[in-house]
Amino acid sequence: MAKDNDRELVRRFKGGDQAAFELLFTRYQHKVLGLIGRHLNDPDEVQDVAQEAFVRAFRALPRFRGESAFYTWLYRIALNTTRNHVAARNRRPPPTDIDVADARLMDGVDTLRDDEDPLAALSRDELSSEIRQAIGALPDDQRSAVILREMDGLSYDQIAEVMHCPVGTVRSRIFRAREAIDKRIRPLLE
Amino acid sequence: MSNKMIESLSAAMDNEAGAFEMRRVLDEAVRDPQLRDTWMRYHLIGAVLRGEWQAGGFELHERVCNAPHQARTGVAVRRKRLRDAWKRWRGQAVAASLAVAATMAVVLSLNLAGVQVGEPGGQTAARPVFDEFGSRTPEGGLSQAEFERLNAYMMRHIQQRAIHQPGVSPLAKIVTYTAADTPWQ
Repeated sequence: MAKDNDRELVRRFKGGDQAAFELLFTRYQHKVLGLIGRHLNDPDEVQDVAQEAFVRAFRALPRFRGESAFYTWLYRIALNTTRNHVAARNRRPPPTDIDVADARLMDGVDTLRDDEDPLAALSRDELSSEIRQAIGALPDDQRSAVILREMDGLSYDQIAEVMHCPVGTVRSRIFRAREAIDKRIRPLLE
Repeated sequence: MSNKMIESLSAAMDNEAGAFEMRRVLDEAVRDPQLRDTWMRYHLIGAVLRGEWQAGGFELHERVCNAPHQARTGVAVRRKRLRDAWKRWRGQAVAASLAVAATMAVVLSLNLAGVQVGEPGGQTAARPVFDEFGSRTPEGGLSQAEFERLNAYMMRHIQQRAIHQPGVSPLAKIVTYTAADTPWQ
C-alpha cells in the first residue's frame, strides 16, 4: 500500500503538481535526517546534506522510473550525497593545526562535539514532552491504537486483531488520537 | 477541511485508505495548504514517538521547499546581470567610438588647414622643456638651473603629499630627502 501511495504522489509530481513533492518530503524528511545524522555529527552539516539530497531528488524525480520503491531510491540519493560530502570534506585541509594528541588532552572536547543549537534542543524537548503528555491524557483505546500504529508499526488489520474490534473502529481511534495530540502541539508550531 | 477529510488523510498516511479515497485526499491535499500542514504535523507526531524527529526539520522544510524556486530566481538574476552588463558595455563602446571619430575629425581638419600636428614649425610644436633654463651638460647630466628647478619641484611635491596624507612616513621622507645626497649633485 505504501508503494502505491508514494507512486501516486510521484505520478502527480511528474504531471506538474509540485505540492505532491512537498507531501513526499514531509513524509520522509525525518527518516532522511536520521539516516544522514548517523553519518555526520554536526547538525548544520546534516541539514545542508539533507537539503542537497532533497534538491537532487526533486531534480531527478522526473526521470524516476519506479523500478524500486520511492523511499529506496531517495535513501540511495541521501546516502550518496552524504558519502560525497564526507569525501569532499576529507580532501579539504583541517581548519586549524591542532595535533591529534593535543586535541585529545583538551578540556571540553565532548562538549565541543555536541554543538546542537540549544534553542533547537529546547523546542525538540518541549514538543516531545507535549506529545507524550497528550498521549498520556488519551482514552486507553485511542492510546493503545496510536501506539501500536506509530511505535510498533502494525497495520489496521493487525491492530483490530490485537484489540478485538473492527478495522473501522481502529481507523477512527487512531484519527481521534492524532486529532487530540495535534490540538496540543499546534500552538507550539505556530 | 472537514473532519471526514482529515480522517481520510489519517488513513491515507498509514496507507490504509482505499484507492479512490486516497486519490480524493491527495487531490484535496495538493490544493489545500492547511490539509498539507495537517499531513506534516501527523507525520511529525509519528516521528517524535519513534524517536526519529530532529529539531532542524522545520528549517529543512523551508529550505527544501524554497530551494528549487531560489535556483530559478538565481538563474534569472544572473541573466539580468548579464543583460545589464551587456547594455553598459554597449553604451560605453558607442561613446568610445564617437570620441575616436571626433578626434580623427579634428586631426584631419587641422591637417587640411595646413597645421602640422606635433612637428617643428607647427602651432603646437613641442619645444624642449629645459631650453629656457639652460643647456644640458656635456656629460648628459643636468645643468645647475635644471637641478634647482627640479629640486624645488620635488620639495613642493613631497610637502604636498605630506600635508594631504596621514602618518609619519611622508614627513620622514622630507627629512630624508633634504638630508641625503641627491643624485644630481
